[in-house]
Amino acid sequence: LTTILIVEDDAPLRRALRMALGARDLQVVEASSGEEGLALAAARQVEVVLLDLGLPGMDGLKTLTELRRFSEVPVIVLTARDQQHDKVSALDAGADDYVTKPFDVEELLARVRATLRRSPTPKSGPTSVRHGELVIDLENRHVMLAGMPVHLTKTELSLLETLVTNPGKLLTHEYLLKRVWGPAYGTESNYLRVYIRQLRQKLGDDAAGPRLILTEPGIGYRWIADDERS
Amino acid sequence: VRASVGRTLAVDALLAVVLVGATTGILEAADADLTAAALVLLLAVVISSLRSVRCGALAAALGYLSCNFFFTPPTGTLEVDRASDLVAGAVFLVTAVIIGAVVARLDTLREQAVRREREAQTRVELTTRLIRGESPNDVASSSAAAMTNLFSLRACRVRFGDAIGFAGDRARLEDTSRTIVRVGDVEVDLVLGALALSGADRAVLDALVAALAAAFDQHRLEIEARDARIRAEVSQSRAGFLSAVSHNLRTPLASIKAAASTLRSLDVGLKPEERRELSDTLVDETERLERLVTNVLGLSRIRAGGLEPRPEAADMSDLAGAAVRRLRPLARAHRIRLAIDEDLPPAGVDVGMMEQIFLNLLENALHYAPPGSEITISARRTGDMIEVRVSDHGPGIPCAERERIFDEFVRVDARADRAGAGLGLAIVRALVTANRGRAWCEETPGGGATLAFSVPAANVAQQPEGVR
Repeated sequence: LTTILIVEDDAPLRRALRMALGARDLQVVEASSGEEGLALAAARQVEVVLLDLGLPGMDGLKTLTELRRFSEVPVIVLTARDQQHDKVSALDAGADDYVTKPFDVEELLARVRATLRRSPTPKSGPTSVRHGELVIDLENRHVMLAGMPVHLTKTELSLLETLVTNPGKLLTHEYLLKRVWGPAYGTESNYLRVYIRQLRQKLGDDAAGPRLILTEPGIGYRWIADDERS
Repeated sequence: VRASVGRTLAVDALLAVVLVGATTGILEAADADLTAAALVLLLAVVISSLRSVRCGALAAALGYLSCNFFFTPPTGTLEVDRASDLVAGAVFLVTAVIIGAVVARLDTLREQAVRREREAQTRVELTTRLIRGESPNDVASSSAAAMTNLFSLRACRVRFGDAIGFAGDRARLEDTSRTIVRVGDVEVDLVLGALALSGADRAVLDALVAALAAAFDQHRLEIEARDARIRAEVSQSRAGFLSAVSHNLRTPLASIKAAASTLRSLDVGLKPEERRELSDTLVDETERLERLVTNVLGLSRIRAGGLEPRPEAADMSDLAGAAVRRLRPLARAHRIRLAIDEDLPPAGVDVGMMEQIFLNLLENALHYAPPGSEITISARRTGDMIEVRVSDHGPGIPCAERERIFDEFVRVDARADRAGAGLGLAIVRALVTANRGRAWCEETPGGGATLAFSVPAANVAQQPEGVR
């Protein structure tokens, strides 16, 4: 039985979530404040945390920072639509994903499942990824599309690797820049825009109806291909 | 001008004649000799010099004549027998003139020092008042009066930017002969009195105007800084208000969508009591949203000035009871007690507005009162008014905050933004005021907050104004 910790100050929403998640055979543990949530996360075996960013008192971001001092448990933050900046801060502070309020429970469950699938992170990642006619050989750093080799620059390849090895996970601009360009970078999201566009072109993806790379405007990118891994 | 100069000359001459004449009379009566007479007459010259150099010189001349005529042999004539007496007379005249000049000069210096001090005091006083933030109009009037006084002006007008002050004969200020001194945004127009400004006076005037201009600049900078501070505070509280309103509107929506989407996708898998609980959530949260929307719309209507109460006789216990029934879902953990006299006369109020007032006050109390505590709604008659109190045993409200909680932007603690408090009380005050009443806040005996309002009793409200 998977245990899910809900840290949310609004009692009616907690009640609705308890019912909705409970009916899906998830065990629900509830906390109404950041402090209570931290205590429960430390005391219980918890597989996923749903964390409201707009908590009174100790806010969600502070709670997340404290939580990350002692736990790597996947965290999905619940945010309001006008808290774009908070979303990015939470993801950079170690949140795994976010859901915008008000949300459909199905959407929340999909995010919870995706997060659970990703963890625990396998020690050795896949050596090759196949999606339709696209084959990415991570070991030999080689990409084929419809049997033809795709020529990628070093930076493009590094960006693709980072995305592919974090399937489904939302990677923020800052994370990608530091990972691909180096620790001195972090605010140059225009670089990313250019390189993502080139990658999409070379891999035959379309920004309007993406099958490989999904843009989360103002936040980051996600590798969404439903691929085969080996 | 000539007339006045003539008048001062006449006064000088008169003083010199009187002093020397009186002295001579006394000396003659005392039968004084030449030496004593010369010394005493010198004293008369010194005294005359205190009046002015001219007066001193006249006294010296008259003193010489008096010495010669009355005390130098042959007396009774202006003739002089001995050469030594001639020399003595000349020495007397020269000494008297020199002493007179020195004394007059000293006196002028003393007078100037006194004036400089007055000028300096005036400057310090006026500039300080400007810098302290007094109204430029007031300081301009004081400045005009002070300058008129200092320089014996006929009229004076002082402008600090748009502020303006007058002293003296205003009509003369349109004369083309007026003097204008302008530094920065300070302009002084003056019409001179009897005397022209000396070079020194002009320097003093310029320095005074320059000091005022500098002070006025500083005054304006401070006003601008204060305005900027106020604008920043207002925009910050507006932003806080907006974020509280959007948070409040979104919170019930999150529960509604979560409950509704669960019901839609899991209809078969849910136990009846779970379905019941989710449906309760839907209804409760929809009502919460409705109350919030009513408040937000109410506030915009109040702001637009579209509040027109239609007073009718309304029973307070009915209104309180209705509010308790509507908020029952929120009040599961509280005890609510109604303490309203059965024979309480009805109030003359708009019933719809009164419902909103009761709902907002009760929701506010439920929000702050700890679970399990008692909330009391009481009402009584005092004179022509009906007083209603909603008392809780929550944390209470500090004295200093008791007026501010009715301000639409104010939330007393960080938790308050969760249920729309801060908006609700602002609406209460607006609605109560529209119904010719008053809303306030006091301490509950034994601790906690009591929000109270009074509205006119029905029989009073329905009489025309002035009949009671």
